[in-house]
Amino acid sequence: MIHNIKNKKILVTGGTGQIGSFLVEELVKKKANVFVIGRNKKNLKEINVLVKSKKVTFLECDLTNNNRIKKIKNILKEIDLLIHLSSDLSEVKTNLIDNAHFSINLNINGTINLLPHLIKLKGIIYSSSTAVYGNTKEKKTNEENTTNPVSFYGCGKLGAEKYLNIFCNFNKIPLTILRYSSVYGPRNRTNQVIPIFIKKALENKTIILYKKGKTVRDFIYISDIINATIKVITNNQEGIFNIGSGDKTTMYQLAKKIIKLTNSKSKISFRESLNEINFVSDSKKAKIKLKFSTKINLDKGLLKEIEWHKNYIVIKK
Amino acid sequence: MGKILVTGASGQIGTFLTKKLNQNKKKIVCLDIIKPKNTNLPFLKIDLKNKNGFKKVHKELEDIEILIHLASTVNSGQNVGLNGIDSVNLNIHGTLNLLDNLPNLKQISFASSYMVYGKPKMQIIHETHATNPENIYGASKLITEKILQVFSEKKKINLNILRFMGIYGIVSPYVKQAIPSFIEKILDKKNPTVFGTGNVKRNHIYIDDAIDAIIISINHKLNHKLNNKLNNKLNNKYNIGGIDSPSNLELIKIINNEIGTKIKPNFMDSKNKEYSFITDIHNANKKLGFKPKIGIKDGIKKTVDEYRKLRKNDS
Repeated sequence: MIHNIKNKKILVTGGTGQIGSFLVEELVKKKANVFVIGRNKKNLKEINVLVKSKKVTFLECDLTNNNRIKKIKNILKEIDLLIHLSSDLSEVKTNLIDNAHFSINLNINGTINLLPHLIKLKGIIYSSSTAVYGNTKEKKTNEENTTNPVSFYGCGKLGAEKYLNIFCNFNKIPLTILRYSSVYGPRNRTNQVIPIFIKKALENKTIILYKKGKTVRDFIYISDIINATIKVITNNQEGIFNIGSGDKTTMYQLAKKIIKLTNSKSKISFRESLNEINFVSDSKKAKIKLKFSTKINLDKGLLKEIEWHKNYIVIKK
Repeated sequence: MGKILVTGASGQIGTFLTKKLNQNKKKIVCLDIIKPKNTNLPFLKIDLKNKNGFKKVHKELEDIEILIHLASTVNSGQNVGLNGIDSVNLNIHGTLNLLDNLPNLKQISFASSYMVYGKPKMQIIHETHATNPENIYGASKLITEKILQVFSEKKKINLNILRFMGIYGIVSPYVKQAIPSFIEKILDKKNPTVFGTGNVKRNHIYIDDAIDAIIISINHKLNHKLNNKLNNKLNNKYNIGGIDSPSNLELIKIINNEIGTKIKPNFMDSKNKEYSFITDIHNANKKLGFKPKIGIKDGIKKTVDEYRKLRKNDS
């Protein structure tokens, strides 16, 4: 792995997303030579400023398209470090199998297509997900836990991990896999639980909870994620790390907090559901080896995300 | 019992399996990219990678209730950049294409491999062992297991995953494993090559036993209620291996005895570290009733006979 960031050629895939955009900003601050791969230059959003001012080089490329990758191979062959975030949480297709193809294609084919072009690579940081574990009930889950994904998204992430592992062993390249818990904070444009609850609360609409609101999750604020990712480089660490807060939050607690923080008149109503995934991360390994600890608690983080959504909704209107 | 689809039906295992199923009067359909030899069984020429290829066989797949999924790439190398994509496209996307075209599926038996485990952390490998495959084949088998798991849970289909140890007793042009390569050399009066010390052990399984395991598994129904209650997804994964766990040196001795020779091996340094790999087959025994019948000596005798027959026919 590379020890310092300054002047290093760092490729960030998925650099226009929530984690990607904040990470790119941080890497530019630390004077890295940053390249970003994204599917569409129209999606640059927050990092558009950095691309315009030529502080970041944007490469428009769909990693599932080999011909597109070949067009940027001269840049790829000079890259020192790959930070591979490219992914998509949303299972967008209506057909189950189409969704599966989509997740496998994006996460596994996309990863494998990119790798042979990175001939000077000195390290890979792969952003995986705790979705690889599947439903672990309420006990804290560490990196040794079995991986039984319950979604095709989790299968895609696990597959990318496994192929990366073989590639890195074969080519003697250090690999760090970060299994992030549920990330939240500004620039959260997903359809995950926090943005949904915030939008409902801001509109004073009823928030619906399943399984009596008892499902537990582990939320981690975006700046803590960025911090952990930077620490992988500066502490020169390989291996698999859970990156989470380690705090159990039930859906009921979350909804209550958001209603309070937004001064909302939203009511909570309960519905039955088949399966909800519970997850709480055990991030002891990251604490010890990366010297990582979370700094932003849920109340503080939620307030920042709420502020962002208020502005974002105004802009969109 | 409903109609059975066998993918990879023209391969070595597929050929033996479809023959046996046919003898047992099962209704079967063969699927492969090459037409199987010496059989009149219904055959569908399909490349699993090609989504559109399924359109023309829509009707034939409609009443398939049982899937025996053997079709797979065989490359067990480590060069992901070179060979990785093939394994993803056939083994993973190919499996998804198949699932998408079997509307009345009730039962799946999937041929997986001990290679899903990677480097052994224990002397005897149980199904709960960590899965960190060290080659492309193992990775693609593992992820195919995972997508089958997700699919079968969503669709309430019975799934049995058979993690095979190296299968011998077949003459495969693709897979060059220890036993066939030793036999070929010794029959030619040449020194077989042994990598490393030759002391690493494997519980190799004879083809007939492997086929028994598959046939038993298609009759095995998983208790979904019980499975959900236990939340133990390991109880449909079964190691399938043989009775004995000979080392490579022991294998050479047995083969020499069988052929009536005393040919010594050539020792070569191994690029990769070689290690013993013995799988625990208790789970398959307890839950499926699987019991391998052919010990290594009998198995080698049968295999050598096969080779002799083949060579007689060729000459």
